[in-house]
Amino acid sequence: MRLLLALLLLLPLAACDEATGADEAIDVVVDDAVTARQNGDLAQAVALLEGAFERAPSNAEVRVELATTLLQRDGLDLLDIDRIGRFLTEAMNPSARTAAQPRAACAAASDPTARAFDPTDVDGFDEIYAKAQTLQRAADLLQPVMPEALQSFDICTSIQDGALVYDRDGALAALAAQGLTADQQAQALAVNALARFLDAYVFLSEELPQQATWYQLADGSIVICADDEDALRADAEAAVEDFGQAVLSLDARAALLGSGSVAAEIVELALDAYEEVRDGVADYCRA
Amino acid sequence: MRRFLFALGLTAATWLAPSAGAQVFTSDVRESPVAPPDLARRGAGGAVAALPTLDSPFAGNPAHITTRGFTLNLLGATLGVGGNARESYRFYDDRLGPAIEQGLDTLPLDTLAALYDDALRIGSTPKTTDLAVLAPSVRLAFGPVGVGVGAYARATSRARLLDGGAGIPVVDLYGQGDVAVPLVVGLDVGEATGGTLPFGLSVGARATYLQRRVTAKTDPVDALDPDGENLYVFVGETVRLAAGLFARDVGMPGVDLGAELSNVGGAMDYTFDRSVAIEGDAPDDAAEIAGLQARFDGREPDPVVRLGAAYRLPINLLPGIADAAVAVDYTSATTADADQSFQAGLRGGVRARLAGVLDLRAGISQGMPSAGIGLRSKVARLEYATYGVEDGRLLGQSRRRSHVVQLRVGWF
Repeated sequence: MRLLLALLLLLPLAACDEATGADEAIDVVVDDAVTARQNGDLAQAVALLEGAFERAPSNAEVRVELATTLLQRDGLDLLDIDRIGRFLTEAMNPSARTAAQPRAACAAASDPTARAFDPTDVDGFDEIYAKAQTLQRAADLLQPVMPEALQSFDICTSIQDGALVYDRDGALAALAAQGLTADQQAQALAVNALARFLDAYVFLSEELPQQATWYQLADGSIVICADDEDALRADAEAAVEDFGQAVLSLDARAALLGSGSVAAEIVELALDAYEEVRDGVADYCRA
Repeated sequence: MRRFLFALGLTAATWLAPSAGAQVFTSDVRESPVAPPDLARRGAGGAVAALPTLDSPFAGNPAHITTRGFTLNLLGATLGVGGNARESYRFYDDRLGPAIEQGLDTLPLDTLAALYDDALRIGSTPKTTDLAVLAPSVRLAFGPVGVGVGAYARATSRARLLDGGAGIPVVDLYGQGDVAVPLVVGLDVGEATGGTLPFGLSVGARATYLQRRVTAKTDPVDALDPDGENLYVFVGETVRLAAGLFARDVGMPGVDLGAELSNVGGAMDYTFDRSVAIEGDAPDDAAEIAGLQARFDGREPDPVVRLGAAYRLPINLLPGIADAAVAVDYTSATTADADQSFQAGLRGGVRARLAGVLDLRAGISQGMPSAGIGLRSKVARLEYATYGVEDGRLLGQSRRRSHVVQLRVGWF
């Protein structure tokens, strides 16, 4: 009887379970972090994953989950891409193009109908820019996880006749070889695409204006006038490649999710958007 | 793009809405035990090994079959709802529904963002249902021997919306339907041996034929085909075994001990049964079927050990109060995908009957309070129970609450 009462008194203490310990297996820590993230406890999730990353920096699962959680913590998600896409779509005439011109010979500068165009005017840009370090961290975390086939995007050869040219099957096999489940692979690719896209947009919007001026003409075209066109292209190349890697990531994800999915249609949209940017600031493939 | 994903997520939520509801749901990566809904046990914190209930021979300790004579359940029904089903409904009714009516494309971006974030927040908590039909079951006693046989069907489902990274919602749906026929036999050893033991002792065994159907859908919303999507149903059958001991008045009057080993054997061998269209008319997806087959085949039934102790208060302790008892259990059964801590296996509760017709129960299960109330007569019973379930590895990690009502008729 006394034992029974003692057990009953102890029952409420069962509510006080032990927290995740520092010596827990990495997969247990990741599971706890995922649970915390899904429950909205992002600070706890980040703390657990930072600890796991310190212990196992080469663990792909930890890198993917940490990158995911950091972006979620800072409120960076597809809505930001939606904002940018809508901003550019509304700003540009559908038939208009983006182009770069030498500033000295820039007709737009003397065009009375041209007005300055500021890519940072996109709604919520300041919030995105304030999280630039998080974007860079997420991209850095995922870099060792992303297959070479996705990272070797080439401005001039990776897109031919509107189609992506890369070793898609090899990329997916390389992701799977790191022990990631199909869900985790899809997650890694989505997060990589988001981080690369936003990181590149921040760079183009915030860094490029130092050496160039953006104009929007009456027909909706966007013209970028640069002091040194070659320098502009060289500086923009990494950002454009980031855009390209984002598109490849989305394409690989669509292949992973299966044919006929909406994800494949998203790739088409991203591809169109990418070609706009590429043609505008880094079109030396045609030159 | 996100607006499009959002619309898809809403469509998915609409699919899931009819199945929103309650529980016993444990994990979908483990082969869950087979058990009819026992609300007397749930209300009393889940402590049952040494605390017999009407259903405990079928759902818990088979040695309890010797504790009563003839009872007959003619027909019964159980309905349960769990998780944040109510919050989800209100969110849909107050905000999501009107927004869809208005057109998502017309919403200001900030409004859409808030709606989207709230949908993910609310959707991440599971919404569970627990529906059961209790077919006829009977308990009989022939001297020291007790026998019971019954049948029931039970359907449970769980739906939630998760963040799959970059803000892309992932639909996570699982459904399970059981048809079970338990056969229980027990022996009152004390009575059979003429009272030579210093305490009462019963032993029992149970074999349960189980036919189980399962289905699942776990996909990012942009992987769902808006023109056609199927659910794939798998079926398997097996026999699960259980054995139990129940000792009465051990050491002092009123102290009972119980032990049971259940969910033994009977790994399911699932085969594809059929596809159910949930949107449009799409051909079967062989890859998805193969993936689900592998997922379900990988589930193993873990044997469950349950140990318990109870103290029955003296019958006439207080006027108008009967069947008063207090009990504690430890069970190895887990309610999460991962192995849980020892604390998650602790159960404790009390029960009492007032004026012969009103059953009151309360308890603590997995660190969360439980409560139950029942109206009883000789021919009908109406029960209600509420209890918490821990979906996480550690207590407090991922809690939810279930509410279940049950009505049945027969001879009790």
